[in-house]
Amino acid sequence: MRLMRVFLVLLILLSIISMTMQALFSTKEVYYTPIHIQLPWYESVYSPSAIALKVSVNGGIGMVTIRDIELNETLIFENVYHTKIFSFVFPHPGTFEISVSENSTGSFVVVLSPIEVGFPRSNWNSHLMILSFSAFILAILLWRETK
Amino acid sequence: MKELIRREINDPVILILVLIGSLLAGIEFKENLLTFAMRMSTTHSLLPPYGISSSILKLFTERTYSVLAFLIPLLATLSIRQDRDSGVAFVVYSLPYRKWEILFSKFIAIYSISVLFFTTTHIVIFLLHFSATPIIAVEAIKLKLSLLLTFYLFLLAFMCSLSSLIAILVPNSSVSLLLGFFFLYLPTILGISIIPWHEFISEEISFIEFVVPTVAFTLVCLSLFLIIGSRRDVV
Repeated sequence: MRLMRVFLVLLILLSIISMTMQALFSTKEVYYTPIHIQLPWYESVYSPSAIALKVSVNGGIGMVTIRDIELNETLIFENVYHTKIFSFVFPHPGTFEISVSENSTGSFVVVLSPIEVGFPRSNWNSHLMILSFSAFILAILLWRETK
Repeated sequence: MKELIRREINDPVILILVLIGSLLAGIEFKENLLTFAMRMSTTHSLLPPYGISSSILKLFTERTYSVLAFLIPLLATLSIRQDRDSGVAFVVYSLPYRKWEILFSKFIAIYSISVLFFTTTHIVIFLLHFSATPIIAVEAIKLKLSLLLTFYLFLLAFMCSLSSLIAILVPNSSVSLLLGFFFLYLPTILGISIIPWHEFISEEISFIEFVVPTVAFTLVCLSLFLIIGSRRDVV
């Protein structure tokens, strides 16, 4: 029984730690190295959180696509004529793929500059759900013990 | 023996220490998830859940290992050596159980608690971090669960058996703790560890290459621990 109680305390504290560290995460801590893409390569980028970005593409002529690997869906495609700057959001933590279309010419350099770091609502809810569920079970256990 | 294991598992000091160790590991896992500089160059398009599943085992780093390298000898010392130092062993060993049963139950207790708490911490931190895409996060865990369990089951078996052997061999608790930490940590930072956990995480070696030396070393340490422990006096 004591093991069960400590286990529930662990779940509560892990949710709090995860939530706090995620909430304190700022743009200063995010850094993406410039990405060089040349046909037929794909480049994957890991995003540690939901992040609003300024994307600047320099190089050849063609179409640059950013795809959400986790959900297998294309998020944005932009036609680039030597240079292009656009804003974009990584909607959740995960891996994203940057590629250029097959009829592109030349190589491309993609620079991702973080503008703002967010904490997705669904992510926040999951933390609170684990936290409240564990606290509820723990409360029942402690109540029974007192009786 | 079931009763002995239950008694050891519910030891409050051991539970509190494992809780603190798991929280430290949890902070480290989350820190890794927030600071991964992960980029993969590929000639083919990636499909889910390849992206995040490839990072599951990589959450475990040398800093996490150092938490374990300090915690496991501490648990073994408190469970095995401290009883003898404080004289509690006279009471415990007068119970109607054989010595090896008492010692084995202590080993099983620290081993099972560590496996339960550290595996849970790893999985919970991962799932919480990627909970914005819950189906993919669960798929990724399913894909790598067997590897993750193998890793913790065998690594912790090795660490617990070595720490237990040291605890039964040395004359007091302080020496047990210091030597346990020394023998678990030093070979790893010098790169001469016989347990290739680092290579297993980075997928440089196969499952068999990790499991065989780990199991062999664990069995040797555990056998020596039980044989020496049951022949030594309880002081």
